[in-house]
Amino acid sequence: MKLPAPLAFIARRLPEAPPAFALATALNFVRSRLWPEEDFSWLKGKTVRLAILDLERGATLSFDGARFHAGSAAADVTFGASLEDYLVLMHRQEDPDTLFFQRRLMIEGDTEVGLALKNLLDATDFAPLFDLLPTPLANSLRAH
Amino acid sequence: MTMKLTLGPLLYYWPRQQTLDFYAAAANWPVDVVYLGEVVCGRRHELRDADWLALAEELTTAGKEVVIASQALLESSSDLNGLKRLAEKGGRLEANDLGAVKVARDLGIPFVAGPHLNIYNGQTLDWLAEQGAVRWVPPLEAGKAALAAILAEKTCTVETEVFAHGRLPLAFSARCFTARHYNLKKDSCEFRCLNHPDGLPINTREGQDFLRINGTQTQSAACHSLWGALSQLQGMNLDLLRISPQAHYTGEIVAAFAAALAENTAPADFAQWNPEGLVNGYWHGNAGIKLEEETT
Amino acid sequence: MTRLPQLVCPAGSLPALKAAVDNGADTVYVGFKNATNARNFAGLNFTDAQLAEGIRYAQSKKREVLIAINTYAQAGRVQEWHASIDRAASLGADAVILADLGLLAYAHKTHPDLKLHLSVQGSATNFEAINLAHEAFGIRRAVLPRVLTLPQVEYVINNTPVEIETFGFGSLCVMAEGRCILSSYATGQSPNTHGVCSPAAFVRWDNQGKTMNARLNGILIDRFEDGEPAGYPTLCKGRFAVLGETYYALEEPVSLNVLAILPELIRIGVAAIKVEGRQRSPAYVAEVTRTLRAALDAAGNADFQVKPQWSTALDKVSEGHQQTLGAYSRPWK
Repeated sequence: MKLPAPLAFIARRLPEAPPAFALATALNFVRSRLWPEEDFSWLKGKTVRLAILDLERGATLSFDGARFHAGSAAADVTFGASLEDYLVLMHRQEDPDTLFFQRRLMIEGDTEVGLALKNLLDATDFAPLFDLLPTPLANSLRAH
Repeated sequence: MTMKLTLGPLLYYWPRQQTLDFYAAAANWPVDVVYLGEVVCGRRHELRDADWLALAEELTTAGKEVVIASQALLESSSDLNGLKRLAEKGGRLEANDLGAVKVARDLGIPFVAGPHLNIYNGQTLDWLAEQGAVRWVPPLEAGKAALAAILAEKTCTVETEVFAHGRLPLAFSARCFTARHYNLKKDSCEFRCLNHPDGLPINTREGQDFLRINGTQTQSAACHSLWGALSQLQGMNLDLLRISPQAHYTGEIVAAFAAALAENTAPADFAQWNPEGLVNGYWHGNAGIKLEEETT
Repeated sequence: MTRLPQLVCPAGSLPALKAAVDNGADTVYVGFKNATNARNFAGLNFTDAQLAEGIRYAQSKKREVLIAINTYAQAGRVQEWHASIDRAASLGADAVILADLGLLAYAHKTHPDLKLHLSVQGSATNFEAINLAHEAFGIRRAVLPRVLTLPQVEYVINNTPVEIETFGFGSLCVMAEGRCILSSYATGQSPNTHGVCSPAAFVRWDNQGKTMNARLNGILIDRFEDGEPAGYPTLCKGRFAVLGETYYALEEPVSLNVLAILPELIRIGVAAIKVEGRQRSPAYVAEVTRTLRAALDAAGNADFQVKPQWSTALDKVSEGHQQTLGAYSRPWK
């Protein structure tokens, strides 16, 4: 999916904090449901940035050992991809390694944390998440 | 107890006369054990079986213990048959492959469990001793702490020989990287290894010396050396130290180690003998490419 | 009719295991979350609870689960490896895949009913090695390193009572497995000691403009220009300079793909065909399993031909987007 040009124009000018805050809140909310056995010790004190390259925007998150926060510190690891490719990954239409080989997904900084995150998302069963979403949205995600 | 010195198997492919001259000289070097035979590539034939056996006899006469080393990668039926022929006539064997262990065991030959047999714990070493191993060489990446732990764990009685000086044989492949460099197939490689008596250096694109191609074998560019750790080695109840042959100055290196072990002052000129540089990271449990100062 | 080889697929997580089973794997191989297996990567592999569920899932569909405990037990910590073998036995694994001779001896003695496979990390390239492991430890199967030609594989099969498993698809080790310590030379950690090759903690990708440098512990392994397909900085797949010429000095970043020779592998009596990639995603596992299942099912027929859509599917997930028959084909050597 590509944002239509006028929307992309607006997106580039939006502040980053609100989406990062929303993402952190959402992660704290679903964490115990999606990852009941994961203690995230390897993520403690780390800051991760998801850069949306085509919008020159992104979200920075940090994890203090207990909760995710919208981060402002320099990221330990940065992922970079287009919005379209993030959606492709979310829907598991492509393997992250494949996108990396094709230079569509970039990882900079602490590669070990980056790969751990990638492996975690690969291993995640998102079904419990769908139960939390409004039915039409859940159905449309499941369809992928 | 003083450690003995050994001359490891020749890993490179040298012209016949150079090889014969090398071992003629080695007969007079202060090494107790000489390893003979081709470890790397079954296509190398400057010396035939009969030549190796003749060398074995000469060196035995000169008072050396001779061990025939097996290839580290036994692939074809001719590799296996060649090994059996040598094993039947050659006495002691260094097994660098589990198939070579089988050959030695079936023939009832005492063998040296070579550095490529992956002995990382005492149980594995005990099992190999039950099959007839009388000596072992720890994995090249096993450092001081790992070696001490294996020795503490084993229950068998075997001699321990440590790879003490030489470029590290890091990997073996079916593919020949020397042939690949010259755009030749392995089966028609024109024996280009003969032109590179110390292998072919591999540098990074930033010019860092990194690795070394030796036919199907990949080595470290630098020379791994425990020269600075001799006093540590002497406290570890080890039996033998291995010097790995190189095209020049092997005799000088052996002499320096022998003098140092005899606690004589040993003038050593590694800047000239190993201009590729020395490393010792493995001994310290680190990346093998690192060089660490020894604290004695 | 000739018996088809088993299709053995990788799983680094429960979703990947289910993807393999659902898409036609006969057998799935997995590892514990520790240094006892050769894909000891952060975020990967199975807790006991996940493994129990995975084994239940697979066995309820008449599929098998193999547990790889295929690193070398490090002296002083051997108990960790013994405990993993004990857990594999109590979880009801269909077999364990081992490389370490001491561990093989332990498993054979302690769990006489547990089936043992000799791992590719055991570097058994010849029938003498395999037969010794058979005599001493009763191994049922050996996985061959990716260094043998097809006639050499056949020669092994004809001289051993042990089932032979060969690699069919995935990233390619150009070195004999278990006989390569390039990774620890650069980083201090190797497949033998830590279950990792070119480990992520030492990897840095730095982007300078459109150029991307891939470094391992600071050593420049490769440099990718804008738009050039990238690879993971595995040492043997980097570009280096030899006598002034810069190229993939050891191996290109390629994937092994045996589709074209499946009938040959079946004819010579290969018992199982293995897919590499426990570190890859469920999407990869599903795609590759589905494709190899279809190809294997067709490969028993006299008029077998590789279908273009199979090649396209495998091409897409291949490292470096190149495929090779590897050592099976003589010219490669």
